[in-house]
Amino acid sequence: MSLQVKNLTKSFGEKLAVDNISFEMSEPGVFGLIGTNGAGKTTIIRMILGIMRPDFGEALWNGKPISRKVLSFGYLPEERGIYTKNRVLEQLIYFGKLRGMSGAAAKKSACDLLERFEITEYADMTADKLSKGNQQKVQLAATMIHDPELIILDEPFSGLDPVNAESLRRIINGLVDEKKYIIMSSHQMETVENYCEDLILLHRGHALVSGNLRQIKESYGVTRLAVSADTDVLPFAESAGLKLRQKHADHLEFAVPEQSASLRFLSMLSQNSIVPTRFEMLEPSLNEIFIDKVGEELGAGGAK
Amino acid sequence: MKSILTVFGYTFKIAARKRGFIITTAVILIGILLLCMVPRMLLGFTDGDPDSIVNGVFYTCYYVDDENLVPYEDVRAELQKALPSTKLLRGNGAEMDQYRKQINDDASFSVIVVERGSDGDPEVTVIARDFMSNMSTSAEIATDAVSRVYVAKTLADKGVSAEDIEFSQSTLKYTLAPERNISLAGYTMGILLITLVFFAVYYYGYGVASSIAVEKSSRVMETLVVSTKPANILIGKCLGMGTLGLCQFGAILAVAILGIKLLIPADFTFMGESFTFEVFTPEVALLTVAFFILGYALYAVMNAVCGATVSRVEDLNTAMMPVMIISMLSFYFSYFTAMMGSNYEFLFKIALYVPFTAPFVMPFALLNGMASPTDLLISAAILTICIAAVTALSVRIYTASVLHYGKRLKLRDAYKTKL
Repeated sequence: MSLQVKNLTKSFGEKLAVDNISFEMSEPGVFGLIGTNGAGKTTIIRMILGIMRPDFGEALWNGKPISRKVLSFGYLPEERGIYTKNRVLEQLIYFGKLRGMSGAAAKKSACDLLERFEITEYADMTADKLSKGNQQKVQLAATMIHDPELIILDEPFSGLDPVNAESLRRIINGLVDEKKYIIMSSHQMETVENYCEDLILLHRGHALVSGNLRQIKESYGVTRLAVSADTDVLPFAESAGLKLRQKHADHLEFAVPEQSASLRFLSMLSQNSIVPTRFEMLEPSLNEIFIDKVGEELGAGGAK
Repeated sequence: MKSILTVFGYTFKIAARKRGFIITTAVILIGILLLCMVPRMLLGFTDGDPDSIVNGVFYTCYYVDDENLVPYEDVRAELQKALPSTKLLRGNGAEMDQYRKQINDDASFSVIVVERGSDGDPEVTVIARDFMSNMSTSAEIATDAVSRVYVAKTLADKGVSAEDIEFSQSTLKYTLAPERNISLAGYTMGILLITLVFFAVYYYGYGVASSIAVEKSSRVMETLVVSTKPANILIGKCLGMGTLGLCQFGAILAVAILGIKLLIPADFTFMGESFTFEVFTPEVALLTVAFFILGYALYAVMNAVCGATVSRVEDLNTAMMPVMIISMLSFYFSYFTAMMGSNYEFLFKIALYVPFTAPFVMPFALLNGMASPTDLLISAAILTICIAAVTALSVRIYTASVLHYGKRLKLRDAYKTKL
């Protein structure tokens, strides 16, 4: 099974919302659609799901254009897409029936999911009586009621407290274990880093970078060094050619212009009998890559 | 089709369970039963009084002729014949202040004063509260009756024979033969049905729009449109709310018929006319329901589009304004043409054929025999074609609008959106 997104392009009036976006998912796992608000993530999702027609390009599942008949998909919208004044179990059954399930099958699936997400006790309550986290679980149950092959999660962690975020994280990990195809859209880059093997980084409708996250990071190399020690190591670092990037409460973070500077610094510490409690070479974060790429683009735009 | 039925079932179930719906239905049904009990209550209060409203007596009139210029007994007989709804009492000039107070307190009181004029002949003054009061509009009839008695007395005093007097006061016989028979019951029920159909169409149309606006603002729409086609949601929702409306409408009609049969006395008369419901035949009931369904369908799809164009429920009333204006104008046009009866036949025909007014005015026309089978067929055909066209247009605009958030999408832009 595979998902292919080819050259998706969409304009709203004069505004180009999505510009020639392509990517592929050939294995189960989590694919990240990353970008700031207004980057075009939701529009891409809508075009993939076939609820918005692209001006150009197509989304294929196993080589066929995606439709409700070709692919069973589940969609978790960015904002809670549930009836707040209706009972939880009742609306889950409704969503299941809309997906073509029989009433009995929808009820069984809904009850199983409520149990799995540990919210069975809320089955007969109206959704507005639930916390945000539990509402998100209900929404996720509505997304998964028909056991879809492809699951699209639009900003799933948005507005969740750490406890509920952790709970949702466990659920998503469970879906990964079940070999589901998941597309996760988010503007919280550090969140996506924990899940996505492959991703596309979006800015104003076009791709800044796309591909395997590991390879993208490796292509940047090690750019930062985190050090903590009982002694002040800043003078040694500066003389080794490292630049202080940020002072954290428990460590210093340096920008690494080249690997040899780090080695010189380590050697200096050793010569002065300083044992660092932390000496960690850090890869660039997704956030840094994003900022770097946006900066490159703005620079190119300015040059023009 | 399965999706439409699913949306239909869920919409119906959720709307039928709403407290507002249950309370409204209960209040309407109780109101109808109470209304049907009014005649019995009136009969109970009158306790055999021949001058009761039930027996057609609505007004009281004092006759003041202190100089006895016109013989009272003769005047009384004439006036009772001319004004059967009025109870005549002998009054006197000394109590005029009290009569005036009574008139100001109660519009059903009036006074006829007969006094000698400057030329020596009697002059009649009719005192009523205002020009809307009954005796004011009947002043001519009252004066005519008093004049006849006075002329007869004067001629008799001059020795004219009773035969000649009778001949001098006779009028030619005439017969009013209306081609169309608009009964009081048909007219009243027709006007009530115009109002009822309008409110039902308006209420349930608003329900559709509001339900869609809520789904859109709560983003449930995003979950729905990935599950089924937007057109299925639109149709299912309209069907669900429509069926609920039909059930309520049916319940109202059923309770009204039961109330009329069981609670209103068979010999009950109102303003001298017996109140029979023979005009409300099963055929008329069936056609009324059919036109209610068509009218609801037309307005519901238009309201659904209004609901789909807003991102916030608060904006719904503004979005619904154009449809609201169309429905209000249609209602008032229907109401006016029905009230005027056959006096404005051309306008009535227009109301029968215009798809926006036909659902309101047709029940009235059916009850009062003002729509021929041809009228019925043409009206239903125009309405059906209009519903098909509006639905096709609405589905397109709805599909383009349901996932559009932020600034309200103009209908023209929504129509042009690539789907």
